[in-house]
Amino acid sequence: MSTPGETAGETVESAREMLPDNSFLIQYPHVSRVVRSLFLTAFVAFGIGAFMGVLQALHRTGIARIVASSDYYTLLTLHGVLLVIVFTIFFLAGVFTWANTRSLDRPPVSKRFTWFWVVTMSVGSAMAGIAILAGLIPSIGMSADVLFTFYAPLQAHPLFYIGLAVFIIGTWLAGIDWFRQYLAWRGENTGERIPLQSFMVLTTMLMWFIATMGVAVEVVVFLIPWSLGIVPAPNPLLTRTLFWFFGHPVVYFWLMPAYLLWYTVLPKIAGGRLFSDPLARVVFVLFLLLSTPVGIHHQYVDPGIAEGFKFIAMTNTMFLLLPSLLTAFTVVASIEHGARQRGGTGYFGWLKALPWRDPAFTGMTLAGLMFAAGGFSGMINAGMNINYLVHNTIWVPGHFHLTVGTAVALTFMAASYWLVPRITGRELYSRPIGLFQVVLWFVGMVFMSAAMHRGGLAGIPRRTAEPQYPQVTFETVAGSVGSLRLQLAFGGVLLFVSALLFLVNVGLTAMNNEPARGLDSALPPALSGPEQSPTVLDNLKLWALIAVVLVILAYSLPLYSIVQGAGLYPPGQEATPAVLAPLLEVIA
Amino acid sequence: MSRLSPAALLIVGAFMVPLFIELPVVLSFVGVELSMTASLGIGVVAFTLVLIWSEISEKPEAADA
Amino acid sequence: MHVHNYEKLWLGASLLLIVGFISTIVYGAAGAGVTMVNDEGGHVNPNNLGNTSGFDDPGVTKIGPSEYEVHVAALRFAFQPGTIEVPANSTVTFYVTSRDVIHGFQIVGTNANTMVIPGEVSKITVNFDEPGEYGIVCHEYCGAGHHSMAAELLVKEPSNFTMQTDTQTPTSGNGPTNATATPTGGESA
Repeated sequence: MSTPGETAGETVESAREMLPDNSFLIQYPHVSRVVRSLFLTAFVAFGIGAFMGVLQALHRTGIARIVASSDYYTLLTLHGVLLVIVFTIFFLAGVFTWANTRSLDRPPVSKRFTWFWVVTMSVGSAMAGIAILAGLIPSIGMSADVLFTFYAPLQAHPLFYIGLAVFIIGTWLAGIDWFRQYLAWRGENTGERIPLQSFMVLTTMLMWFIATMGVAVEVVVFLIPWSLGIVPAPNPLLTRTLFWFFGHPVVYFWLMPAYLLWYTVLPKIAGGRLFSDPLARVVFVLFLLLSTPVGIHHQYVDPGIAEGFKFIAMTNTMFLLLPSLLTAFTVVASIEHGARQRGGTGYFGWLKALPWRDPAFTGMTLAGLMFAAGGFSGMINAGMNINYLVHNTIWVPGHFHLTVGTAVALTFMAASYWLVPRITGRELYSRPIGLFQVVLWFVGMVFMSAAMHRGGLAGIPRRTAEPQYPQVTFETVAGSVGSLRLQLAFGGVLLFVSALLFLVNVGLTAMNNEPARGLDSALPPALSGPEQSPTVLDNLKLWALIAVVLVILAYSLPLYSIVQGAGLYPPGQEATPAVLAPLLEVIA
Repeated sequence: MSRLSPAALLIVGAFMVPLFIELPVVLSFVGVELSMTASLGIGVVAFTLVLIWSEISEKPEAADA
Repeated sequence: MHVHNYEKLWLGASLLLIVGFISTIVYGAAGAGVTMVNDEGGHVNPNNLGNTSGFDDPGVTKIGPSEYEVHVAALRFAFQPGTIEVPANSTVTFYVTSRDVIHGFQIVGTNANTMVIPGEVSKITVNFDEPGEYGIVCHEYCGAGHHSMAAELLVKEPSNFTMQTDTQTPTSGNGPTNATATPTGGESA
């Protein structure tokens, strides 16, 4: 894939001339270029990450072991970091840049600043990626086999942590860019309601600023100085808790752009309008308030944290279901409205009137459907006593491959079929291939995720190269462990084929000389407009303040008791593997 | 003229997959053992029936779904 | 603010569902007595387990007529001891800690499941009603040999059970005493 539009020359120019004046590419050629470069990085990471995924599916089921089992964890780290950090966040940065510009109807304030954060995010990702990949070549003496969660005292090379910090700073700068864009708009539009898409971008970024405080403190205050040998090993429970302070809201950071697309783009594709603008705003405010003070639900079975704190996190988590349940209502109602506009009738007959041939529509709808299933398995995880049964079993990856792996990833792929023509001016290469691809992802994920959930109930652990032990027999509810393995691997292969089809289809679209048709980006107004909601919903300062207060309430006592318990740097903690010893000798 | 377009067949087929993957689990709750292979086999037969129903239609002008 | 009637209905049903979920968990904790792994286990120096009561000689200790304590040390890539034997019809409290990095401890097929964090002691109390053999796996990635880290737990007929550890004197352990052990997390077998 080459960056289109810059190199292909005259055919592109003539193609562009055929685009309507109100198309996004003609109005904002520079913003389109920014979005294209963000998407390009996202898709490259997606391709590599998906390849790692199929290697793992074949490896842990024992069907094909191409790498040594000790290298499996390098691939697993790469899979996690490339897919849930690079792919998701670069793609959502593209979506947010597009959505903020489109809905505020003005470009970002400074081109240089925009490119500055794009480069910052890219440099950070490259640093972390190099540190991980170096783990495959022992002679380099650098590794970051610490998985996506990088729990100390497992230690990665300093380059990994520094890359991570640089990347996060890049995302902060991106958020600042979108806020500056909004403030410039506000200066000329006093008293107006914030346009819906921009409202979604801003609330999500406020949530992200709060959430990343945890990981920023963990990485900058503890892990970077520790990996450089300046301070001793930090309290493992403290760094773990700081990670999950960030580690849960990050899943909403992935999900919110998918919600943005479901609320604003999906109803349009379905032929209708958003059901309720006020409810959409309420949902995003709820996510801003509740995403962060729940991270301890990842630590239900951690020692050193009192039961009461776990109970508070559990209650908050359950209330986080509310915005997602409201979303289910609004999205389905909007789709039904669209179907009826297209002539659909009957209680269920309207389903037939939906544009199922459109890969963007079908992909997003299947993603939403899978999210319902993922939501229910998430409720099991959230129930702290039943969590004992599934904690750290392969049930958990089964759950999040439905949520981030389908609700988010499949929505992003489906949205690409709609969005890529709008930022390149080129017609989608093939709609039938696109349709087949999104359906294949759905089918592959049904196979893989069902096998993972069931394997988890049998106690098969996650994050392991060889879940086959001489001491252990796993007993399944139905079928044999062998058939579950086959099912998992088969699903994994289907998903990889689907990922390849997606990349080929988007790549050929980027080289397609046929000008895109039907580029109207205007979104129809909601059935219930923003004027029907109280203006306090748009008071971002108020909601940010309440969110911070809730985080302080949820985290100050647990953090205090963890530090009181074992201290910031408890005695006897040692870095593993001790990669630093040779480095220090060199310095000395 | 077939009742279902290729796209509609694709969607119908896709929605059948989770049903037949979960069927053995549901049956095991009522004490019936059905292997995964058998369940998927039933699924293939069911899809073939849909296909036949779709292709052999009595009214030639039957509309696409 | 205008909210459609169907939306109100859905909102009410959603809240009911959420409250319902929370109630089942409250019932599990208060009624069925499932307690969470918490901060009762205390702290240890992972580099000095050899001089730490209980972990200096990991294994099974009898502390009451049908009550046992098991100290387990996790390290890359094994559990100490690798085989644990307890009698059926007993209440067993596990104290698990790590010598190096973060590990996991799950008795497969039961809900005895905890994280193992260096410096912290995880305390879980389990009732074993019937004899059986269980695998124990480390379920948190701990390094290149993680997939080989497992142990076994043999729950024996009380008549066949003799204490393996020859002359170990019963100690009260390093955690709080556990005279009124409530069945927690793993009500297994």
